Amino acid sequence: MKKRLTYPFAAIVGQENMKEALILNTINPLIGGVLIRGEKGTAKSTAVRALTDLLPEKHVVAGCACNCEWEDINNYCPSCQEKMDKGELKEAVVLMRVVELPLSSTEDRVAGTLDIEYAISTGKKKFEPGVLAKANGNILYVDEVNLLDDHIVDLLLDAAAMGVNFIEREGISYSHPSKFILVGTMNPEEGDLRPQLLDRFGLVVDIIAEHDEDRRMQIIQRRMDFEKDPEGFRDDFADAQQKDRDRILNARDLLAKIEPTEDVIRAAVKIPLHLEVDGHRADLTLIKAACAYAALEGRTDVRPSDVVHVSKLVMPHRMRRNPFQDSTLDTEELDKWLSENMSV
Amino acid sequence: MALGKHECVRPVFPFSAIVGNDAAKEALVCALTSPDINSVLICGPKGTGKSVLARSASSIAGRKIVTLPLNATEDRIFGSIDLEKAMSEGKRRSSLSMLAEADKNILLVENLNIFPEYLTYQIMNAAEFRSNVVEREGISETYDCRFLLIATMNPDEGAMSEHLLDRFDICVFTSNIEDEDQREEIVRRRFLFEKDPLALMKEYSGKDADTAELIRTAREKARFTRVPDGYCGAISNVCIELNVCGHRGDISVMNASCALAALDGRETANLDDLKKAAAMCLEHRRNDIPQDQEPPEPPENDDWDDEPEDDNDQNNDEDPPQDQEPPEPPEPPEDDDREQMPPPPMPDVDANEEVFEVGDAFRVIDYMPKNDGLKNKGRSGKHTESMSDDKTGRCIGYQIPKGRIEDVALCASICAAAPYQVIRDHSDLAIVMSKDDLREKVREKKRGNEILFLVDGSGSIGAQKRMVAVKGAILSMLKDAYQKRDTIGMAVFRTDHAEEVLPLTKSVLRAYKVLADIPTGGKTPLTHGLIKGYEILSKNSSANSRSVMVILSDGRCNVAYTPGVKPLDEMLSTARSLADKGMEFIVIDTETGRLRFGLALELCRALDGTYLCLEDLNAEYIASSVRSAMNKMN
Repeated sequence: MKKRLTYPFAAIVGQENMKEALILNTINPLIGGVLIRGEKGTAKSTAVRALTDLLPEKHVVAGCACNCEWEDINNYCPSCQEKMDKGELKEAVVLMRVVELPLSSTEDRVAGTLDIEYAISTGKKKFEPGVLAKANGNILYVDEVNLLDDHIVDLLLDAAAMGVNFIEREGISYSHPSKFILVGTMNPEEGDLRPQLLDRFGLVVDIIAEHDEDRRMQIIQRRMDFEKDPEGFRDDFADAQQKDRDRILNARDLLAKIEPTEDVIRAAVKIPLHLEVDGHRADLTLIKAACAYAALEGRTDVRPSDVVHVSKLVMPHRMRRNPFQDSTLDTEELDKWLSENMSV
Repeated sequence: MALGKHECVRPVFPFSAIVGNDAAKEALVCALTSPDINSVLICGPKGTGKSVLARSASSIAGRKIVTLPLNATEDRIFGSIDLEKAMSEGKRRSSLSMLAEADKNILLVENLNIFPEYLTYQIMNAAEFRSNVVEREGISETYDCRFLLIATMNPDEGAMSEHLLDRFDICVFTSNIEDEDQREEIVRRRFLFEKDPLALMKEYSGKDADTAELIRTAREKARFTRVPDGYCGAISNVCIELNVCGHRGDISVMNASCALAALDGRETANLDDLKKAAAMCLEHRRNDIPQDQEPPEPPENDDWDDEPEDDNDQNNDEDPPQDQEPPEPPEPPEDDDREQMPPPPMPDVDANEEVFEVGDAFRVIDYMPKNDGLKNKGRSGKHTESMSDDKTGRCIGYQIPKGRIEDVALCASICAAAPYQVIRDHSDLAIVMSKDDLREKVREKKRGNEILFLVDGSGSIGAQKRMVAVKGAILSMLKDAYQKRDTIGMAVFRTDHAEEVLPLTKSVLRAYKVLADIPTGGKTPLTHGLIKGYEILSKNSSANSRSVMVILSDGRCNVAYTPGVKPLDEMLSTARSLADKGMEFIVIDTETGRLRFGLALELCRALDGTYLCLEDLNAEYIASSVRSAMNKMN
């Protein structure tokens, strides 16, 4: 089967917040994913699929079905541990990828289960990895995440909580690392997301269709060009794509050197308190996203203004104490408030 | 890199590195110390460190933690046939179940409130009786499981039934920390943990080891620690005062006090221990009625005299009915403490159109009538669950098929066939299955309710600003529906027609927007409303859901659907014909003031529905242990 070519990320017109949120996550996967909310036909899925081209390399254990990270010795899956004891482990370099979770998935396929074929042919038990194993170290993409069955959402939450997927089913007892960047898209008109799942998303972007006439024309033109000649179109954007890729790689290098300063921590604590946000995830996410943003800007120092900048992605979905209030965030006002209150 | 033998230690956030939430931490230590405490529930809003706290137990407990994931199936939890042994030896041996594995250890269940309830009951039983009985797949066995159950739950995801809650010896609440310095410290430690978990673990390993040692020695002592006789009476009195049902509370307080005393190196418990223990063990069991809107005081502030003050006795008189069985007639108007309302204007006053704001939301009672036909045992405040006939929903087990098999449980079928493999004729096959071996899956599907709010938008509601309260009530019910993930719709009847203002949707956000804009004014075409409501619900009803119509009105219908007919008679006859259409009706009477017609009650009788007054909906008035505990956290 010929691989379907994806639309180049660099060719997406507008939707800067969405693009930034996705890129920040590739720079620092610990940010915790993105939820993209918007009407249909606003390039949500296109952007997520296009991200594939920009994803960096990672070091894994060669041949591991659970994509165990090479460095993360303490979290190896049982089969890697066994191999390690025998000294048979090999390192491999692979590209990070986007793993899709279809809405119709069943829980045994998501969590993993007994390998039935193996059981039938040998009479022995073996674990068959599921989507959560595949997604380890990768992006887990759920289109229409608000329509996902409750019991599947539970599985995601369970694995996301500790980055480990425990399987206790059909006579199988197994556990493997499952650290993924959760990327979801949804149309809010079709229903809300469970509060607990919502809180797990590090960033949220609300997108609206482009209203500028020229830009709309540009969108249509590009899409038509792409459909006519995908390869040629991709060639046209090859340079721009490479630039983005380099920028991300560079930012990943810089990120390792960034330490959040006291000012940044203070700002990241003050903002959620000011906006009356539950829990501590917001504080942490603000700092991680601010560091990633500073790195993306080519800096090794992170400032309170970076925290304010990313707060438009981190705060909106956490602000609503009452689930029915519209949540919009005025960053300018926030900036003003922060500068008035920081010196105290 | 040459990798030698390496002991994989999954990094766990150290217990001593947790900032704040001291009461929760103390309760956890207490539970780990007492040999007689079987279960702890950690309750709290998202992101307040429930999981971190629960998991950190491993660094101080000196015992293994067995994690029970949400995907666990019955056979793994309680034990089942060992497939490999059965295949090779033809013998039915049981495999090591998770509960057996947790024996003398700790069993950790996260998000217990979204766990299938029937599994939770069995797990709680095993925890309480310290042994479990397996009777399945030809295996009959009893094994020990003396574990400590640590569970977490986020009340936003749905409440747990009071009966289950009462089974927990200790229940603690984690809360948001508002102090800036503490928050900064949390962020710093968490950051370090994510960057270099081993460094953080090393930093706190000394403190954790001290705590672990303290627990270990206190655990030995706790068995010989006692509560002075004089205090036993005090415990009972406090339990009575807090209206705690049953005796589990008393026993838990005794055990927890002993553990706390042992931790302090004493052989007898003192008053402080008792107070602390009561806070841990009774908060989730209390059943008091708050005197005013203030959340109840935590029990540690209660009077500890041997003689409880009897200022709580008056509460028992206003104890509201626990179930929603009535149509009881509304309070006669001689009620003196009710606000003096002007007599209601005649319903046909054509007031100007007005849009009222939405009143304050409150926590609603569980107003949905219990559905007897469905499997819905003891569930409070959570979506209805039922066995699913199609191949969707969570697989919760398997059974010997009745009739045609459509949803084969392959694993279970193989297990069923396994013991016979040694005697069956294999020819070329690795495993031979006969028809009798086949098992099918039993699935459970969460069924949302389809709720249509039929709102009276007439002038009689608007005139007394009653609409503010009505909207507040709807908002509260919307919030409730949001937690239970019901489908909701809204229709309004006023002037001379009824209209659907919100088609059935799962988006409560949309519902809220619509709610704010509902206008009032004009006559009351209730019959139009009933017909409209019936149309909407019957159009959308599917076999898998329950249709509920919630009517908010005073019942003063004054517009006839068919010209020339008496509006009220028509309303009641329409209602009677709707009564057996497979829908459920809840009539919420918005009537207020001295002069009452009681027409909503008549309407409700005709519909054979459930009758409630607007004020009855407010859970603040109908306090129960769970809800008041939850309220405290907001």
